[in-house]
Amino acid sequence: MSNYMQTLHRPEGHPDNELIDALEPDQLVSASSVPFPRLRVRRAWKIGFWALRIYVLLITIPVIYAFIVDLHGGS
Amino acid sequence: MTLLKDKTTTHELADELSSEDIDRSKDRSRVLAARRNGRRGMLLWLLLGPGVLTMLGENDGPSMLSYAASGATYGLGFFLPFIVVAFAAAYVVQEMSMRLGAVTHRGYGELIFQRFGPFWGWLAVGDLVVTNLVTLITEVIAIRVGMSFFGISAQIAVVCAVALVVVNTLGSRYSRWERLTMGLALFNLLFLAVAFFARPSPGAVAEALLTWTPLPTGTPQEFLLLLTSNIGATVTPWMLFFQQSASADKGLTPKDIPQGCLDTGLGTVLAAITGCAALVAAVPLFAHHINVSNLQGGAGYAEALRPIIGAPGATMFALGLIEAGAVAMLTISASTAYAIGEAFGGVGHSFNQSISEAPFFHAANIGIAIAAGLIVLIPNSPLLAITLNANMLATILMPPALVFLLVLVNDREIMGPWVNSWRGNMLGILITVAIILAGTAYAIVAVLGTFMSAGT
Repeated sequence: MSNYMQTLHRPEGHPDNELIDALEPDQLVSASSVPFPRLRVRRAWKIGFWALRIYVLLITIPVIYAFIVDLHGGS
Repeated sequence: MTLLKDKTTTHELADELSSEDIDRSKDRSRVLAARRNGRRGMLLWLLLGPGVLTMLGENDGPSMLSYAASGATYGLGFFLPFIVVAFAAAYVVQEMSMRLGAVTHRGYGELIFQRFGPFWGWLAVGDLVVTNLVTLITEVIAIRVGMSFFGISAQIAVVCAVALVVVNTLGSRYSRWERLTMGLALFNLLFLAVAFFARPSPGAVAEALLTWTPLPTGTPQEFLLLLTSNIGATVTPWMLFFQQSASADKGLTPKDIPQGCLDTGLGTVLAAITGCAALVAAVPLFAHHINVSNLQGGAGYAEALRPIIGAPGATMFALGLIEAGAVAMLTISASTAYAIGEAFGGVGHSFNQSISEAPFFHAANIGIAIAAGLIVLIPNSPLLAITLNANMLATILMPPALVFLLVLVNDREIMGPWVNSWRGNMLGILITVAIILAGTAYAIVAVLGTFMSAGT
């Protein structure tokens, strides 16, 4: 369990145990803070991710250029 | 086998309870009681929140100004039904986010880090922080412009905007934060009142909604700027981060997915109505041939509308702008905080945790609001240009975020039986392609337009 959590130890029959029944086991912080394992990403997906990243860069450049030109034109 | 259900019973984990668990369980026990007793209305009320806040939070300052600019530039016509369709697309995307949060109990950023690794995780968080900072600047501007209508100085407006984020964070309870923000978000309906003051022709509104006419005229660049701005005004990366993390923070479970859909649907309907209302409210400016670009650089829409629709309508427009900026300050700061908190694995990232338990989360929440406020106060900073391009930036960065969302929501190992249907996938792919095409078209036309104007 992660160090940051303030762990509260509660004896059996403690009133808070009833409250905790309201949570699902995988919803507890101790469970949800355990990371899922890495996904084995297919090669095609990796290519897709990189293509989108390149798309973002390619599109951002002209938009920033137009933004700067517009800025100087407006000032 | 799903990775979710390999834990033992709650009682076996009960010796590892955190204060966050205790707080969340108090909210969840009310949900379970309402479900047990068949109180459907109460159940829905208790589970409302992330969807309504995401949708009304996206009706922020630049979004409302984009809708108003569409109405003031083209009048009633194409953009009115376009806003409705854009919100329908937002519903499709946000339902996936809600479902991911309810099933995995993890935020969007957290899942990208865990399933795709830190490289893609940091890129996603980096994109989000940049977009959110730019957008938050525009929210502060919206609050500033709205308050200036009432004669309040820029400095006081900025202090109010930042103070709102700080004060609403106090208390370390998600439910408290959510209900206060929802109360504020209801004032988004002010735009509906402004639309009534604009006295639109019901026949013209109905005709526009049904026929998408009249079609926009004018330059392709202006049309594409408004088109992409309107897309960026309804479907943006922060919404994915926020709704998924907020759903997990609220404690939604797979049993709550039907109510989560209603929550998202209600938010969609409210946001679409108020978005259309902002467009309709600005139509009198089109009828009076008032130049929109002059408005944004000058006294703003509220001042321009005052002589046409009267002081009460203009006052409500200014108040609506303040509300739009204020709610978005809260939700967009929160989405940044969730993303940063999730990026630093092993630290807290919940409104149910105190500052000492979740230092990065609270520092990011307040820090980005302060940064946006300080930038707005810098003399001669290009605030107008930032406002106009904020939605554009969101549109450009949306496709990668959508693709990760689609992969995650189809990940059977973490989603189990709650993976996307083929219809959901088709719609998701369609939305992604449409956003890519709109962004690309604008970029091409903007560059060509810039070169052509430089050549003349």
